[in-house]
Amino acid sequence: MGFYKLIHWVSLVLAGATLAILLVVVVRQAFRNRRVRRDAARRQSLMALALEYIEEPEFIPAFKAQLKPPDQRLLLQLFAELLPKVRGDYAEKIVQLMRAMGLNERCLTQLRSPKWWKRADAAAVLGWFQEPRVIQALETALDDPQVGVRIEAARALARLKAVQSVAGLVARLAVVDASHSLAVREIFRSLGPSAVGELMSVLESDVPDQVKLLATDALGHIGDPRAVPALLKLFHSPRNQTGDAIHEHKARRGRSYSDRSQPTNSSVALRLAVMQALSVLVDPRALDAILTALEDPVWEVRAQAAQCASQLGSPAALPRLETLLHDEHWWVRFHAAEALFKLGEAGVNTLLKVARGTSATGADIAAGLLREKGLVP
Amino acid sequence: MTLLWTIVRFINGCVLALLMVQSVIYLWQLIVAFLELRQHRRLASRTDTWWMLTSGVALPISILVPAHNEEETIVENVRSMLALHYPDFEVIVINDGSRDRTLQVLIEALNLQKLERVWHPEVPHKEIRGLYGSPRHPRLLVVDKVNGGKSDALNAGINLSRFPLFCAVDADSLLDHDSLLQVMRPFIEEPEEMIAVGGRICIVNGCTVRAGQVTEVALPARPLALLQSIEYIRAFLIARLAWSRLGAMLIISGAFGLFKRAAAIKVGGYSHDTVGEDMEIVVKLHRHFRDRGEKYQMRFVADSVCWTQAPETLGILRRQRSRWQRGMMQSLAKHREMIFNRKYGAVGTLGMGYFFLFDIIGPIIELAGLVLVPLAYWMGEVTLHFFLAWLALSFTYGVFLSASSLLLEMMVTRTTRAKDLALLAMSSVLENFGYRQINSLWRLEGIWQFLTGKQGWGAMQRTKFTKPNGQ
Repeated sequence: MGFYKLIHWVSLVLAGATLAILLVVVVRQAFRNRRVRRDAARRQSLMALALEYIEEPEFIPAFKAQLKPPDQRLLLQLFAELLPKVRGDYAEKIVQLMRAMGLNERCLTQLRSPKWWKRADAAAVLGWFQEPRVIQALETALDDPQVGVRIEAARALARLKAVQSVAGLVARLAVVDASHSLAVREIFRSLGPSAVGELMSVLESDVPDQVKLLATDALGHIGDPRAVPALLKLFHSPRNQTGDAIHEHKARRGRSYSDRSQPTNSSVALRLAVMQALSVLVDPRALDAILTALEDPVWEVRAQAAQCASQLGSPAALPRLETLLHDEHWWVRFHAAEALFKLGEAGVNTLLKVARGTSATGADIAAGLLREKGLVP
Repeated sequence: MTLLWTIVRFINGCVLALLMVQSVIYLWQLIVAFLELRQHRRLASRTDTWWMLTSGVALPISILVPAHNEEETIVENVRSMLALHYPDFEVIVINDGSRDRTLQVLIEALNLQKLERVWHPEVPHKEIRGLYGSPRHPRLLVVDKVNGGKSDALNAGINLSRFPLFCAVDADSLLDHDSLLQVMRPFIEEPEEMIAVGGRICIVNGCTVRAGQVTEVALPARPLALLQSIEYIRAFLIARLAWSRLGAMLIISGAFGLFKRAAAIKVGGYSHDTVGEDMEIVVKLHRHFRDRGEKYQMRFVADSVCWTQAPETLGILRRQRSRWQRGMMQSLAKHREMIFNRKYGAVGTLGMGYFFLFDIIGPIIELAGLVLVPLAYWMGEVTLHFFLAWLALSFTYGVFLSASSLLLEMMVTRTTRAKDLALLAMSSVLENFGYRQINSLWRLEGIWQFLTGKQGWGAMQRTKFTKPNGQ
């Protein structure tokens, strides 16, 4: 009997809780909607006012006088959304206005908030203030226990071109769980040419391969030709070559065909990353490495090398690309055919020759690509 | 007669036990979902869509839109897809042997011409009759193929796609402008391990749609669609979120899911032998990666929204629900070794175990209880206390859960009108008296269809999206 009574009582409590929840939901939403509407209207008028005063900075004190206490929060949100979308002089004027309004001070205070998302928001906005104490505060934020705050601080420092040491950034960002995050990769990419020297040292240092991958990717995207020798050295380094690659190849051969789509070890990923970087750098010094990569035992590297060869546009790659039209892996054949097409007349002639040839594998891809490009009916 | 009443009493005991276990599990799911949403909300609110659009971190996506007899909505849907905010994507519409003018309306409206594209048959599907594109819409590819069902059409789309990720979207659904960016977020955080991400499905009936975008959110006017609204909120904001947090999510809705192409190919793409292709591919992915001991992740993103049309007549809703049940049973039967198998971790023990107990056994017991408990009480075979306990567990917990899901809805959707919330609150109570029981009956029908080997989807009715007055 007691058991059933318990169920009855629990049910009664739940029924009461349900009524309370429904009431709270409706009433709270009514108040919230009113606040949202009020904020939206105020944001709109603040936006109009701010745009007006940006053009005439001498009237900023008058603008400040019109503001109410909650307006600072709204203005901070407004400018945080606006700043990434504007460039040059206009961005500078907004930053000046924010400085005059004391919003940078507000962000510096917010950077010490107990709530991590508030600290991260503040770090993001501070990335527009080229001031020594802001940079110092962001440097401190790089040691924040929350990775989200560290990432925002690093991004802000990269934007300000104020990253003091790539090794420091690596230590705080890359050697943690977030090292594979594309957000971290983007920060390293945005470091700019001044970081090339340090990034090259990362390739030669004793750091995990995941960090070398980040540096390789960044060097490719920064696009500084000084990085080419270091990348080639990494590509030709003994542990990224033959023995390891053959071991990798054998390991993959042992697996079923469909299973061979992902590299199984990091040295393959490094070779792949080097080829991707060289595709962006497009440097003739990379030709030998590309030709070697076209014969790599791992299909992803061959496919990437074919793309790289098409970017470089060297006719020296033509014979090996022709061989790749008969590759066992379709994506390699496809990228080889595309590369040949991009190489111009000589490449197209090769495609036409293979399309008329006796090898069905090569003829299929060559004829297919020529049809796709509208070169044959 | 005594033996009969003993059996009835035993069944009644089972009914009460199952209801109690179910209530405890629902409550636990609610707590887990709340914790997940609280954490997720912080990350979502910090998502800088501008940064994602401009920084180059968003991976290219092939959007696959299988279409079968969709002439009413297909053009608006394709235009909406082409206008999505995303840096690099292609839209592949697969006309799966439509008997209506789906292909013709696309050709006429978008000025399509025949073209060639080289592709490799990595997953099986029926013959492709032709490919179409337009210089005015370089992101668009239309595939015309022999009818083979939704899985078959998606497989054709996978083969023709050239990007590392593909997003399966139903032809009668609309994506919010930023939905792709939102659903991409887990892939940015975990590009290596993430293999699939599901978005949230909301009901478009009643909303105002302009140029393929939902411009004004409103609740459906018809009661049946309104009841489905609260059902969708509960399903996505409690169950899907909780399973996602526990790493045991077994369904990514077929209307909106983002997958790593290489992973889908590893499991042979979509299966042709189930009608629940969305659940089947997710279960196959779990099984593949767990069998090989490879690390992987799947996630649900609550604020990435896809709008879909809900059935507004009982007949169509019945067909949909019995098909869902049949599809789920086909998947569970195919992968029965996984059920309660510790080798498959939370997926086998929690996810599949839950589906087996509460989605297969559950409806049978619930309906048995609806007939037998009142009968037994009327005949004096069970006490008033037992009867009241059954009533309480059957209805109070259901209402409590639906009401609680509205709290979660408030955490995700911050601008719902108070009037709409009041209407949803009312529906959350009403759905427990009739609608839920009819649903269980349709599930029972689905179980019967599975046992008798019924195949096929049954016809679905499509209507044009609602436009504001005077448009």
